[in-house]
Amino acid sequence: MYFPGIGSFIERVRAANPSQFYLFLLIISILIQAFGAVCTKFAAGLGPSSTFFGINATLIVYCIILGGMGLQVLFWQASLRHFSLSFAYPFRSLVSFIVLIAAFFLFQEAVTPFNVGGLIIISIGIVYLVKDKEASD
Amino acid sequence: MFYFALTLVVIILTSIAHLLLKKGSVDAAAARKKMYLHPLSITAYLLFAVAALLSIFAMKGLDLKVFFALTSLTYICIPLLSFVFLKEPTTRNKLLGIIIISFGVIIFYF
Repeated sequence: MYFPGIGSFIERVRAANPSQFYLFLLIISILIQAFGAVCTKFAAGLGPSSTFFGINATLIVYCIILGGMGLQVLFWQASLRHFSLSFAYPFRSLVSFIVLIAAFFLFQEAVTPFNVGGLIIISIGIVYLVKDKEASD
Repeated sequence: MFYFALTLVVIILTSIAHLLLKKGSVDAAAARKKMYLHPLSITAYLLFAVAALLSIFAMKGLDLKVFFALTSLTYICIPLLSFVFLKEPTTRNKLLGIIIISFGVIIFYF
């Protein structure tokens, strides 16, 4: 498939506002990671005999998860070209919060204040871990 | 218990994969293309794929929120393995981060 001019369009958008462009990539990377987690839980709930157009449904979802992982790495690496690790890395802890919300709404899992508090503390820990990574880069 | 053990295997495999990626990128630092196709990097991709597959089985017995909070332990495992195998120095901030994350995981289960 060929889309004439799409490369130059992306380049123009990037040049017009690099910070917004790379922030968009960073957020897409986070969303893909959260989507992968939701897909994994969805695949876990599928029975061994579930099929989609004759193909094992778990296998299809697994391939989607792997494809998502690849895309997520590409977007993440691209955003790191613009942002420092200490700015970008704490965004990864956002995935846990998105997953918690998805767990509540999509899979009807109970969410307690301790769950939310625990994730906030984990996020603070990640910020501390990254402080030194940034200094050594 | 089985599903928790499986999640632990996922955490260890993911951490080892990150270590291999780091080693592969250092070994082939001269060329970006070589970095992606370095045998250690390819082994890391395979480990990620196996970890993703095992995650599906682990989530058959664990809630999504529980599984994902447990995988935060990867943030602890990677600095520890880096210290042992890559001889990366452990600093005060790293230790503090590890303690805070461990505390967060415990609070999550209250």
